[in-house]
Amino acid sequence: MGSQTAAGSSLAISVASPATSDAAGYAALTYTDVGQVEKLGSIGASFAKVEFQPLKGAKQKYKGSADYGALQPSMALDSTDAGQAIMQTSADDESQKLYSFRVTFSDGAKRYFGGRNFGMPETADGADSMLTGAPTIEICTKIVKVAAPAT
Amino acid sequence: MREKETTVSDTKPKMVRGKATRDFTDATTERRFAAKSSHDFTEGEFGNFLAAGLVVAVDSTPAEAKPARG
Repeated sequence: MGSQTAAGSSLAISVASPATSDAAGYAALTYTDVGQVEKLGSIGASFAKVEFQPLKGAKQKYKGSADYGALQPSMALDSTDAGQAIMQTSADDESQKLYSFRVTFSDGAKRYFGGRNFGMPETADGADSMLTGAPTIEICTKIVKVAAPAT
Repeated sequence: MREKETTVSDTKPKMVRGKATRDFTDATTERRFAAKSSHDFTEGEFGNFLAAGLVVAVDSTPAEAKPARG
Protein backbone atom coordinates (compact mmCIF):
# COMPACT_ATOMS: atom_id res chain seq x y z
CA MET A 1 0.00 0.00 0.00
CA GLY A 2 1.19 3.53 -0.72
CA SER A 3 0.00 6.56 1.16
CA GLN A 4 -2.68 6.20 3.77
CA THR A 5 -4.51 8.29 6.29
CA ALA A 6 -4.03 7.94 10.03
CA ALA A 7 -7.67 6.91 10.49
CA GLY A 8 -7.92 3.41 11.87
CA SER A 9 -4.50 3.48 13.50
CA SER A 10 -4.34 2.22 17.06
CA LEU A 11 -2.16 2.08 20.14
CA ALA A 12 -1.97 -0.95 22.40
CA ILE A 13 -0.06 -1.76 25.57
CA SER A 14 1.10 -4.91 27.34
CA VAL A 15 2.54 -5.23 30.83
CA ALA A 16 4.66 -8.17 29.63
CA SER A 17 8.11 -8.03 28.06
CA PRO A 18 9.01 -9.95 24.91
CA ALA A 19 11.21 -13.03 25.17
CA THR A 20 13.15 -11.72 22.18
CA SER A 21 13.36 -8.14 20.99
CA ASP A 22 12.16 -8.90 17.50
CA ALA A 23 8.85 -9.04 15.67
CA ALA A 24 8.14 -12.61 16.77
CA GLY A 25 8.88 -11.80 20.41
CA TYR A 26 6.64 -8.75 20.45
CA ALA A 27 3.88 -10.41 18.41
CA ALA A 28 3.67 -13.24 20.96
CA LEU A 29 2.49 -10.83 23.67
CA THR A 30 -1.13 -10.01 24.42
CA TYR A 31 -1.91 -6.33 24.02
CA THR A 32 -4.84 -4.26 25.17
CA ASP A 33 -5.93 -1.49 22.83
CA VAL A 34 -6.09 1.98 24.29
CA GLY A 35 -9.52 3.42 23.57
CA GLN A 36 -10.57 6.92 22.53
CA VAL A 37 -7.19 7.85 21.06
CA GLU A 38 -7.36 11.07 19.08
CA LYS A 39 -3.74 11.36 17.94
CA LEU A 40 -0.69 9.16 18.21
CA GLY A 41 2.06 11.68 17.48
CA SER A 42 5.48 11.08 16.00
CA ILE A 43 7.34 7.82 16.31
CA GLY A 44 10.94 7.26 15.30
CA ALA A 45 14.54 7.58 16.37
CA SER A 46 16.77 10.58 15.83
CA PHE A 47 20.46 11.12 16.33
CA ALA A 48 22.27 13.85 18.17
CA LYS A 49 24.24 16.13 15.92
CA VAL A 50 27.94 16.37 16.62
CA GLU A 51 29.57 19.32 14.93
CA PHE A 52 33.14 20.36 14.43
CA GLN A 53 34.22 23.58 12.84
CA PRO A 54 37.79 23.36 11.65
CA LEU A 55 39.70 26.56 11.15
CA LYS A 56 39.92 25.71 7.52
CA GLY A 57 36.98 24.27 5.62
CA ALA A 58 33.28 23.72 6.10
CA LYS A 59 31.57 22.65 9.28
CA GLN A 60 31.69 18.91 9.76
CA LYS A 61 28.62 17.09 11.02
CA TYR A 62 28.47 13.64 12.55
CA LYS A 63 25.75 11.45 13.89
CA GLY A 64 26.01 11.08 17.62
CA SER A 65 23.96 9.06 20.10
CA ALA A 66 20.60 7.66 19.08
CA ASP A 67 17.42 8.73 20.86
CA TYR A 68 14.47 6.48 20.13
CA GLY A 69 12.13 9.36 20.79
CA ALA A 70 8.85 9.65 22.63
CA LEU A 71 5.29 8.93 21.67
CA GLN A 72 2.84 11.58 22.86
CA PRO A 73 -0.68 10.45 22.07
CA SER A 74 -3.79 12.26 23.23
CA MET A 75 -7.05 10.63 24.15
CA ALA A 76 -10.49 11.44 25.51
CA LEU A 77 -10.45 10.17 29.08
CA ASP A 78 -12.63 7.11 29.60
CA SER A 79 -12.66 5.67 33.10
CA THR A 80 -14.09 2.37 31.84
CA ASP A 81 -11.44 1.74 29.18
CA ALA A 82 -9.05 -1.06 30.11
CA GLY A 83 -6.25 0.20 27.86
CA GLN A 84 -6.36 3.64 29.45
CA ALA A 85 -6.33 2.05 32.90
CA ILE A 86 -3.16 0.14 31.99
CA MET A 87 -1.67 3.35 30.58
CA GLN A 88 -2.41 5.06 33.89
CA THR A 89 -0.82 2.16 35.75
CA SER A 90 2.31 2.50 33.63
CA ALA A 91 2.37 6.24 34.34
CA ASP A 92 2.04 5.69 38.09
CA ASP A 93 4.67 2.94 38.12
CA GLU A 94 7.69 4.26 40.03
CA SER A 95 9.91 1.36 38.98
CA GLN A 96 12.05 1.20 35.86
CA LYS A 97 9.84 -1.50 34.35
CA LEU A 98 9.54 -1.46 30.59
CA TYR A 99 6.06 -1.83 29.13
CA SER A 100 5.54 -3.13 25.61
CA PHE A 101 3.71 -1.03 23.07
CA ARG A 102 2.25 -1.74 19.65
CA VAL A 103 1.21 0.88 17.14
CA THR A 104 -0.86 -0.44 14.24
CA PHE A 105 -1.43 1.60 11.12
CA SER A 106 -4.58 1.31 9.05
CA ASP A 107 -2.90 -0.95 6.46
CA GLY A 108 -1.85 -3.40 9.18
CA ALA A 109 1.79 -2.32 9.46
CA LYS A 110 3.02 -2.46 13.04
CA ARG A 111 5.59 -0.75 15.22
CA TYR A 112 6.68 -2.46 18.42
CA PHE A 113 8.82 -1.04 21.19
CA GLY A 114 9.47 -1.05 24.90
CA GLY A 115 8.90 2.17 26.78
CA ARG A 116 8.27 3.92 30.05
CA ASN A 117 5.34 6.21 30.60
CA PHE A 118 6.64 9.36 32.26
CA GLY A 119 3.22 10.76 33.11
CA MET A 120 -0.32 11.08 31.90
CA PRO A 121 -1.58 14.57 32.73
CA GLU A 122 -5.27 15.24 32.36
CA THR A 123 -6.47 18.38 30.61
CA ALA A 124 -9.78 20.13 31.21
CA ASP A 125 -9.97 22.85 28.58
CA GLY A 126 -12.94 24.93 27.44
CA ALA A 127 -16.57 23.95 27.83
CA ASP A 128 -16.79 22.62 24.30
CA SER A 129 -13.92 20.20 24.59
CA MET A 130 -13.38 16.74 25.96
CA LEU A 131 -11.40 15.92 29.06
CA THR A 132 -8.20 14.52 27.66
CA GLY A 133 -5.18 12.58 28.78
CA ALA A 134 -1.76 13.04 27.22
CA PRO A 135 0.80 10.45 28.24
CA THR A 136 4.47 10.75 27.38
CA ILE A 137 5.84 7.36 26.46
CA GLU A 138 9.61 7.52 26.23
CA ILE A 139 10.75 4.87 23.78
CA CYS A 140 13.60 2.94 25.34
CA THR A 141 14.27 0.19 22.79
CA LYS A 142 14.86 0.03 19.10
CA ILE A 143 11.54 0.25 17.26
CA VAL A 144 10.69 -3.01 15.53
CA LYS A 145 8.93 -2.35 12.25
CA VAL A 146 6.63 -4.91 10.69
CA ALA A 147 5.39 -4.23 7.17
CA ALA A 148 1.73 -4.43 6.26
CA PRO A 149 0.61 -7.90 5.26
CA ALA A 150 0.54 -8.51 1.52
CA THR A 151 -2.93 -8.25 0.07
CA MET B 1 -14.40 -42.39 4.66
CA ARG B 2 -12.97 -39.15 5.95
CA GLU B 3 -11.23 -39.25 9.30
CA LYS B 4 -12.66 -37.16 12.06
CA GLU B 5 -10.66 -33.96 12.48
CA THR B 6 -8.93 -33.43 15.78
CA THR B 7 -8.40 -30.03 17.34
CA VAL B 8 -4.88 -28.84 18.07
CA SER B 9 -5.04 -28.06 21.75
CA ASP B 10 -1.40 -26.92 21.97
CA THR B 11 -2.27 -23.62 20.32
CA LYS B 12 -5.09 -22.85 22.72
CA PRO B 13 -4.11 -20.09 25.14
CA LYS B 14 -4.25 -20.96 28.82
CA MET B 15 -7.28 -19.40 30.41
CA VAL B 16 -7.51 -17.75 33.80
CA ARG B 17 -10.74 -17.24 35.70
CA GLY B 18 -10.99 -13.70 36.97
CA LYS B 19 -13.51 -11.39 38.55
CA ALA B 20 -13.93 -7.79 37.45
CA THR B 21 -13.41 -5.32 40.27
CA ARG B 22 -15.34 -2.61 38.42
CA ASP B 23 -17.11 -2.02 35.12
CA PHE B 24 -14.67 -1.85 32.23
CA THR B 25 -14.43 -2.33 28.48
CA ASP B 26 -11.66 -3.96 26.47
CA ALA B 27 -11.26 -1.88 23.30
CA THR B 28 -9.37 -4.76 21.64
CA THR B 29 -12.25 -7.19 21.75
CA GLU B 30 -15.01 -4.68 22.56
CA ARG B 31 -16.07 -6.95 25.41
CA ARG B 32 -17.69 -5.30 28.41
CA PHE B 33 -17.20 -6.59 31.91
CA ALA B 34 -19.57 -5.73 34.73
CA ALA B 35 -18.22 -5.25 38.23
CA LYS B 36 -18.16 -8.46 40.30
CA SER B 37 -18.82 -10.66 37.27
CA SER B 38 -16.48 -13.58 36.58
CA HIS B 39 -15.00 -14.36 33.19
CA ASP B 40 -12.37 -16.48 31.52
CA PHE B 41 -9.42 -14.47 30.27
CA THR B 42 -6.34 -15.49 28.37
CA GLU B 43 -3.21 -15.34 30.50
CA GLY B 44 -2.06 -12.24 28.63
CA GLU B 45 -5.37 -10.43 29.04
CA PHE B 46 -5.51 -11.34 32.69
CA GLY B 47 -1.96 -10.08 33.28
CA ASN B 48 -2.77 -6.74 31.69
CA PHE B 49 -6.05 -6.31 33.55
CA LEU B 50 -4.59 -7.48 36.86
CA ALA B 51 -1.79 -4.91 36.65
CA ALA B 52 -4.39 -2.18 36.23
CA GLY B 53 -6.47 -3.48 39.13
CA LEU B 54 -9.39 -4.30 36.87
CA VAL B 55 -9.60 -7.97 37.84
CA VAL B 56 -8.65 -10.35 40.60
CA ALA B 57 -8.16 -14.08 40.34
CA VAL B 58 -11.33 -15.85 41.40
CA ASP B 59 -9.31 -17.93 43.86
CA SER B 60 -8.11 -14.82 45.62
CA THR B 61 -11.47 -14.21 47.30
CA PRO B 62 -10.76 -13.09 50.88
CA ALA B 63 -10.85 -15.93 53.41
CA GLU B 64 -13.66 -14.36 55.40
CA ALA B 65 -15.87 -14.44 52.30
CA LYS B 66 -15.50 -18.21 51.99
CA PRO B 67 -17.89 -20.50 53.86
CA ALA B 68 -16.54 -21.69 57.21
CA ARG B 69 -15.35 -25.28 57.42
CA GLY B 70 -16.64 -27.89 59.78
